[in-house]
Amino acid sequence: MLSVQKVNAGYFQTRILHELSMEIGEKEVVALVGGNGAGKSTLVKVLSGLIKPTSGKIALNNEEITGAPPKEIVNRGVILVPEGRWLFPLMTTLENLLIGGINSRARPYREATLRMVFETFPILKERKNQVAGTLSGGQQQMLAIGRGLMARPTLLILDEPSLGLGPLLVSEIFRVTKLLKEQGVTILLVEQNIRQSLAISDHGYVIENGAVVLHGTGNELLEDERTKRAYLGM
Amino acid sequence: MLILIGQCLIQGLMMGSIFGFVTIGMVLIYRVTKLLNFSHGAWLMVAMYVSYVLFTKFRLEPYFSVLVAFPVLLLLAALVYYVVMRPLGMKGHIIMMCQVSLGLLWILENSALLIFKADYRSVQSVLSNSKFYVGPLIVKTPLFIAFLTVGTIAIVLGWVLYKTDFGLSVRALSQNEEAAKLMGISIGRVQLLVFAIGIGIMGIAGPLLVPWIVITPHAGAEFTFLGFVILILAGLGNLNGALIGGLIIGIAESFGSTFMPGALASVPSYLIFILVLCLRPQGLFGAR
Repeated sequence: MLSVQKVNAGYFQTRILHELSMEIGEKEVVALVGGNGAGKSTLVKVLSGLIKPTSGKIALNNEEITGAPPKEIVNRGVILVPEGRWLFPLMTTLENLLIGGINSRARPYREATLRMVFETFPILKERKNQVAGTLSGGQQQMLAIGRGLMARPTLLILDEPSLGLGPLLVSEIFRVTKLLKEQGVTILLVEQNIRQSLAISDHGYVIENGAVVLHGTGNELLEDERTKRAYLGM
Repeated sequence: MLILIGQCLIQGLMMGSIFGFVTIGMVLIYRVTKLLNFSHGAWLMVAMYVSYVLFTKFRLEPYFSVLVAFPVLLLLAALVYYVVMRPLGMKGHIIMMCQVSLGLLWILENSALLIFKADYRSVQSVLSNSKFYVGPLIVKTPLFIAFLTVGTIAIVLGWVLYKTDFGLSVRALSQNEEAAKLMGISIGRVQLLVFAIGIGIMGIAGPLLVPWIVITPHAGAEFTFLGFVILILAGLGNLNGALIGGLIIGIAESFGSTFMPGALASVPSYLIFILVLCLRPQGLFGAR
């Protein structure tokens, strides 16, 4: 459903992505892994429209969206849950969720979507009147994902959802990711937690220095000597 | 003596509500566009002259000139934002936006000076000299009307900010612009509307002031100055804080002008300001 072809992008004079290409199929979970500074976050910003690529082509369901502003991309159902969560810290949990569903595509279904999100994350319902900035790290991550779901994504991009969370919460995040997959949401999972993310993914891309160095099914990559050596410490 | 203090309190509260109201516009604009609007009070002055012209040319009761001044300021502000501020803001030139607002201040004040000269003008409303008594205390009717009106508008603004989707967008934008973009909010539209409304409400405040205030080309400057004092006193970008800060400064000014020699009337408010800066530099209601 999403196809990225030979994208170059960066900040000012610094080019970070070099001719990067990847494909995400309908209802797949695709893992994007790579070390620090590999260009994962830049790619994610390009996909969500926060950065315009200098060249290359991005198409969603065969319609070109290269360089479209974030608003248009959101209205097409590509939703980013950013690294570091980017919650609105002074708003309540409920307000954060409501604003997630503010785009014109999701707005008509907001009440129903909210019920669904509360079912997926009961803790958010419990804390709905608490100010987001005072939630615990794990709760904040749930809220960030919940806010993403409020936009009724067709493609949900999760950028480092397990970053900074304890092991128990990390498994909770992966449980939710699997649940979303079962519900038919296409997911791009950007992770440093390579083993767990590859294990639940249909495909994986390993990127280094802004280009794809390895590509295969989750299991292939887990078995690949190069991944093992570089990332799994085996 | 007790009556005098009570009188000061009433007068101060009512003046303060207007100071606070003017500051709310500055706070909204600052939170959403990052612009410290030096021209804010000048727009208030423009609204006063709109009232003045309508009064002298058409004998229009100043309170009704709100119907003209509000839309005129709304449109002018939207135009200024669209033509000058937005192109700068999109490139991230926040300092330049502040400089432009300073430039606007000179343009507006000097245009007024050119057209109306430096003469003191006043507008007579049927209510200009009316007053009523609360126990032993005197309340000037036009001041009371101004107080009621700005109070009502402040409540409406609060309702919009906290209960509507538009308000949600405004608050989101003021807390995290990039995240707001990811929600699919059109930043440009929200900024345009907030800028226009923030200045547009000066078109409501202006006509409320003219029945009891002298109009000069520099009539707005005092409001800008006090606005900045209140802005910093309350903590940059806190709306309720701006209102309460306005009341504090209003009361301080009113006590100052009653109990201090004329030239020192503003001493108490600036003293409070300096004390707050020393003891609580993040402001009384310290927003982050």
